[in-house]
Formats: sequence, C-alpha cells, structure tokens
Amino acid sequence: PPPGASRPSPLTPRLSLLLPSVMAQPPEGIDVDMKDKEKHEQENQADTVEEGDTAKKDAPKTPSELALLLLADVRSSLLLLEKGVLAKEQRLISRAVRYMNGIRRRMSIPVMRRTVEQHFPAHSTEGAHLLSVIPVEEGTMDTSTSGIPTSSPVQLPEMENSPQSDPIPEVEIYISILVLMHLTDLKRKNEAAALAKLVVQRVMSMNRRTLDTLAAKVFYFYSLCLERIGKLALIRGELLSAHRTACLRHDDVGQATLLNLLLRNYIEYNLYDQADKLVSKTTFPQRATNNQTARYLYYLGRIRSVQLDYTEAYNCLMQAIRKAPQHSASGFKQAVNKLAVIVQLLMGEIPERTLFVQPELRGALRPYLKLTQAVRVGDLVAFRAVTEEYAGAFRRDRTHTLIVRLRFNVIKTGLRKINVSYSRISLQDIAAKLHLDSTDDAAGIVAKAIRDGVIDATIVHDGGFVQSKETIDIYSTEEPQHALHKRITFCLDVHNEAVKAMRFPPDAHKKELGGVTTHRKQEEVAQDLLEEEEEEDFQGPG
Amino acid sequence: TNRMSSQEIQKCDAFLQRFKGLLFQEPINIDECAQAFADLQIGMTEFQTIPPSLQPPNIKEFIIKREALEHAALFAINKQSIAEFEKYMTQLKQFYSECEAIKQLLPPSQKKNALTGLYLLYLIYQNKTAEYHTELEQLSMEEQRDLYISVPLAIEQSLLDGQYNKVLNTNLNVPMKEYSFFTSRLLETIRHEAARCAEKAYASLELKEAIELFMLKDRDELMKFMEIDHKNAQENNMVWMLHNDKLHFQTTGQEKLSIPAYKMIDRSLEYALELEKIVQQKSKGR
Repeated sequence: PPPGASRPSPLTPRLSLLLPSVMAQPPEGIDVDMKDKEKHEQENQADTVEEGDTAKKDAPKTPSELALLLLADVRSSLLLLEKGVLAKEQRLISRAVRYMNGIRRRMSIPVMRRTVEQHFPAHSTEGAHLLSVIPVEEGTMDTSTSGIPTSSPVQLPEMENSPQSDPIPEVEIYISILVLMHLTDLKRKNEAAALAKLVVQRVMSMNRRTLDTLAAKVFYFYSLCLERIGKLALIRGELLSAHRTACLRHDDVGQATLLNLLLRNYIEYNLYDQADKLVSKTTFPQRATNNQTARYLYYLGRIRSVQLDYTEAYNCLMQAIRKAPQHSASGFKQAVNKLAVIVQLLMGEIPERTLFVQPELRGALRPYLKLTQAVRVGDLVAFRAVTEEYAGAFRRDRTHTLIVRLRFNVIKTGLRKINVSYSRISLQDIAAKLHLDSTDDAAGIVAKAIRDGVIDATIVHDGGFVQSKETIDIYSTEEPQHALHKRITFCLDVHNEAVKAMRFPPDAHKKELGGVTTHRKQEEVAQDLLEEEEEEDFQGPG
Repeated sequence: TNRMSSQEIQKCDAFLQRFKGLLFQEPINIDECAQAFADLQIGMTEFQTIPPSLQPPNIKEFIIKREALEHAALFAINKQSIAEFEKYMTQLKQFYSECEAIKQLLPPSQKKNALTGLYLLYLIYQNKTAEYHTELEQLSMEEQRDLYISVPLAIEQSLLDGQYNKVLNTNLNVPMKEYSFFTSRLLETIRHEAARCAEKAYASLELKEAIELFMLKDRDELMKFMEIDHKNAQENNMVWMLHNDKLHFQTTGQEKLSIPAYKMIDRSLEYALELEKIVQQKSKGR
C-alpha cells in the first residue's frame, strides 16, 4: 500500500514513531482522538480491507470486479493472520478476525468457493468438505476445478495452481468460519449447524494459543446455529467442558465467550437457578473485551431481576449499556433498555421520558412507554389494557412475568398519589379510584401498604376513612445522605472504570513488520483500540 | 455396566405399586409405608441409567424412579417431615425439567402439576420468594391455569394484596389433602402478618371487625391470640388493649432516634480514601 501522498514531508522514521497523530494532522494535540474526520483521512490511506472505502465507492462496480476485490481482501487478511501467527502478535490476529465482519457483509458464493480452492491443496479432506458444504449457486455448473461458472454474473479468472501444502490451522479455521458465517446468512440452518459441529471438533482437537480468538468465534457460531434450529439444550455439556478447558489454559477470550454462551443457554430455557449457580461458581475474566462484558452484565441483570434483587439488576443493566458499543448493536441496546425500564418500574422509580425518545429505541420501547404511563398514574385499568394489548410483544421479550409483578406497583403508586393529595379520604372512594372490588379489599391493601411503609396514614375503621399523618421534614431524616451517597458512589465507579480502561499501545518500539509503514502502524495501534469495540458483530438475544 | 434385567425392573415396579397402595390407604399406616418405601429404595439403587449416569436411558427405570420420588414426597408430607419433602422435591425437579433428549421419550407425569403446586406452596410458606419466582418462570401459561398450580398463585397474590381473609377461603377448598398441611400452617403465619398490618394501620378496631380480620371465631380466641402475639407486638413497640369491646393499639415509648454514627464514619472514610487516590493520580501527572 502506497504511503500517503498528501502528508507533510516526513520526519525521520524514529520521530514518526513517537508522534503519529501529529503526522496525520497539523499539530493540534497529541491525544489519540477519534474524530470522524481523522478516521476518514486514515482510511483513505489504509489497507483496502478496512471498512467504508469511500474512494472506491465512486465508480459502480460490476459483480465480477467486486468479487475480485473481495478475494483480494480475503487474501490479505489471511496473510495478516499468518504473519500474526508467525510473529505471535495477538494484535494482528485480532485485527484479521475483525476484518471478518466486513468481509462477511460482502461475501458471495463464487468468492467463497474460490477462496477455499485457493488456500486448500487439492487433496485436502477439509478443503473438499468445505467445498461440498458451500451451496451451488443457481444456474451454474457443478463445482469444477477450473472454477468458471458459465451463466452467473460473476466471472472469476482462471486460478493459479492450488497450493501444495495444508494451510496452517488458523487459516483453515478462519476460512471455515467464513463459510459458516455465509451459510448462516443464507439461512441454511441445518447445514450451518452440521458444519459448526465439525469445526468445533476440529478446534477442540488442537491446543494453540494463537487459535483462541478464532475458537471463541467458532463456539459462538456453533451456539447460534443450534439456537436457530432449536436444539440448544444438547450442547450444554460440550459448552461446559469447553469452558473448563478454557479456564485451564487461561484462555480469557474463550472463557468469556463460553460463559456468556452458557448463560444464554440456561436463560433461553428459563433455568434461572442453574444460571445463578453457574455465576456464583465462576469468575468472569477481567480482561475480556467490552462486548463480552456487556453481554455478561445483561445476563446477570436478567438473573437478578428474576430473583427480586432489583437494585443489583439495575446496576448491572446500566453498566451493560455503558459498555455496549456507541454506534452499533442497537438490537442489544434495545433489549437491555427494555429490561431496564421494567426493573426501574419494579423498584418504584419512573424512567425518564428522554429514554423513550431516542431514535433507535423509540419503536422498540413504545409498549414500555405505555406501560410506564399506566404505572406512573397508578391506573389499574389502563395497566391491564396495556398488558393485554402488547401481551405478544412482552412474551417475545420475555418480560411478561416481570410485568405481572408490576401490578402491585401500580396500586402502590395510586395509593401514594391519593395519600399525598388527600388528608382524609373514605375507603369507598379509594376502592373506586383504584378500581378495586370492595371496601374490604381496599382496607386490606391500605393496611398492607401502611405496614410496608409505602404511605404514612391510619385507618379509622368506624368512620371508614383513611387519615394521612403529618408530613415530616425530609431533611431531618437520612434520605438526603442516602441519595447523595448513591450519586457519589456512581461517580467514583465511573472514574475508576475509566482509569482501568485506559490502555496504552503495547511496545511502541517493536521492530517493523514487512509491508507496513511505521507511522501507519502507530495509527493502526491506536485505532485498533477503538475499532475493537466498534466492529465486533453484535447479536441481540432471542 | 450391567444393565438391569427386565425381571429386576419388574420387581422394583412391584415394590412401587405396593408402596403406592399403602400410601393411599385410609387411614394411612406410617410404619408399613416406610417399610415398603425402604424396599423400593433398595431396589432402585441397582438402577444404572438414571441421572447423573451418562448411559443411554432406560425408560422404565426413569418412570419408576420418578413415580417413586413423587410418592415419596407425598409420603413425607403425610409424615409431616418438611426436610424430607424438600429433599425429594429437589431430586424430582431434575426429572421434570430440561434434559431434552429424555423429554421426548418420557410420557408426561400425571402428578407433575400437583407436586409442582405443592412445591410452590412450600416455598411461599417458607418465605423463599426468590426461589418461588424462579420456579414460576419455568411454568407456561397453561400450566399456570391448572387447578393445582393456580392455588399457590392465588395465595401469593392475596398475600401481596394484604387480603389475608382470602387465604382462609383457599384453606377450605384444597385440591389435594397434602395442600392443607401447608395452608393450615400458612394461616398461622399470616395471622401474625395481619396483626402487624393492623396495629400499624388502625388506631382502634371494633371487636367484631378484629375477629373477622384475624380470621378467628370469637372473643376467647382473640384473647388467646393476643397472648401468643404479645411478644411480637412488643418488638414493634405496640401494646394491644381490649377495652369495652374495642381493641386499641397503642405505641409504647418513642423509637429512639439515634445518629447512625458507624455508617457515617464508614462512608466518610470511604470518600476520603477515594479522594486521596484521585489526588495521587493527578499529582503523578498521568
């Protein structure tokens, strides 16, 4: 790749190592700031594999040209992978894995087939198997080694001789994952599941540290494919033993991914007590990526909310939202927010309206907005209507059991409102306002509410009315200190997390690797740290 | 790994039937039942394929074991032993839940809903709300409407609403006699709950109302209940006085308002520590 022509005259290479961002822009500061403009500029000089190649979008490409480009991209990321494995540079391997997402979006069957042919020797069993799994495109001949389909729009040139030796395991698994991704995207569930099973077995038979990230991805797709065909329960044992192995090998990525897959597995079948036991017996690795941590926190929040530990659940869910990527993963954020709204309501707080108005959440959260409105007003009839109207949606989101618990909250809020507005009110009126069946019911509910500390009043049974007690000065109680403490701990948590999350590019003075210019490498290192979060594919639950 | 011969399995089945027969005899003979159950258990130790074994399952063994556990749980109730009941239920839950491979092969148990309902009732009685809700998550909509399961659901709902007298009604019509074991005990507990609610909510109550509220029969029972409840009332600084057909609730003494010194000291120290950390980081020039 050519060095950027638009750059100012370069300083000596040594200096350029130290001041990367100064090279990219007029001296404005050394912070590794990821403004969109800077990213745009870097991408124009970057590897062709990077996302959003604006330069290339100018001229419309024929399918063949796109296919050729994609082939080249795949080839270069595989080269990157090999380099990473040889140099044991985890960063390069992670980057190659990240490119998978971009490639996935542009993948097509001919390219897939050609990739397999290019990298597996003709006699390889794995290669042959992959070729057999790739579906035949309509209107083409069967697979032939010349690889020129006649009537498909994509014309690929003749292939050079196929390689002589087996590819390194990483490359093999990488290509297998690409095939797997494509099959999943084509919705060929059964084939995908079968292939996933084989790849998992292959991965389990090897013990290479460089394979860890790829292995984690394989397990992820294995679980996904089986979930799509509804056979998730069968692999629980496998996931558990794989998790054990990952722990023994100190494989952080694998540990985190597998733990999340297991939790998802249990929660899918409503086995919350087993999920809870798993959580209590394992530790989630500290150094896992933000995405995995976000997933873990979401699952943890779900478990806690079922166990009535609402404060803990709410904390987990809030943290999950913070750790989720900024601009993508809207499905995940929708799911987390739905649950967070319900947990907040169960805690007795009303979520802010601004939450519902955010563009990406607006559609998904509309039933929850209606629900919040009903709870806020304390209107039992409206609450019942909303639950019936959106029953299907709530069931899909698996929040309907929690919503059933909300019924009491509605009554509590209603009672509290009444108590605040009336100094004295008859039981009959209360029953009417809350749409209860009888005054005795109302008496029972009010008595319980008084006992629980929801309202401060006494019932005068003879007169049949409820009399509110005098309001006490809030400042003389512990309430302000309690609220202050909550806010202080929150700020301190955010600060500590930020400090922990500050990372520095590893070994800025490591020797150059062939084909990568020095200052580009510096930018890439910094960009790695950002992109790692942005580019990883996120699947919402359910 | 020698699988049991079908003859041995037949023998176990015979034990099971005998146990069931004795269990449902009226009046029940505890000792004979216990003996029959012991025989059955000894027979079942030979089973090779029930969990946690990983061998391919032998359906007959599963069915026998499951039925044995169900009836053992019922037997424990008849023996009035809660610990045993819990023990058998935990084992039984394994047979009811997951294990997809087995589910397709096993015929559904007839007593499943009855026992699940009983277990839910047990959890309510023991006040294990977290477990109760976790169990609830696993029930589908149809199961929730089932006769046996709707009983504990209704009870829990009434408890939440403070409608303690509704629980009294459920006590009178239980779908299975084992349920009354828990409901009668539950009644005792919630009577105390109702007392706590009442003393906070009411300044005074007519005698008639009080008797109704606490689900008692007449004045004498009320007096007896007051004596039993006396200690609990004292803990909440309450004293009950029966005066001229009216029940008065009076507070005794003021609740001491103390400054939560330890909590404040703890918190202030925490803040100081964190601030120190931040200042140190800043001064290191990060």
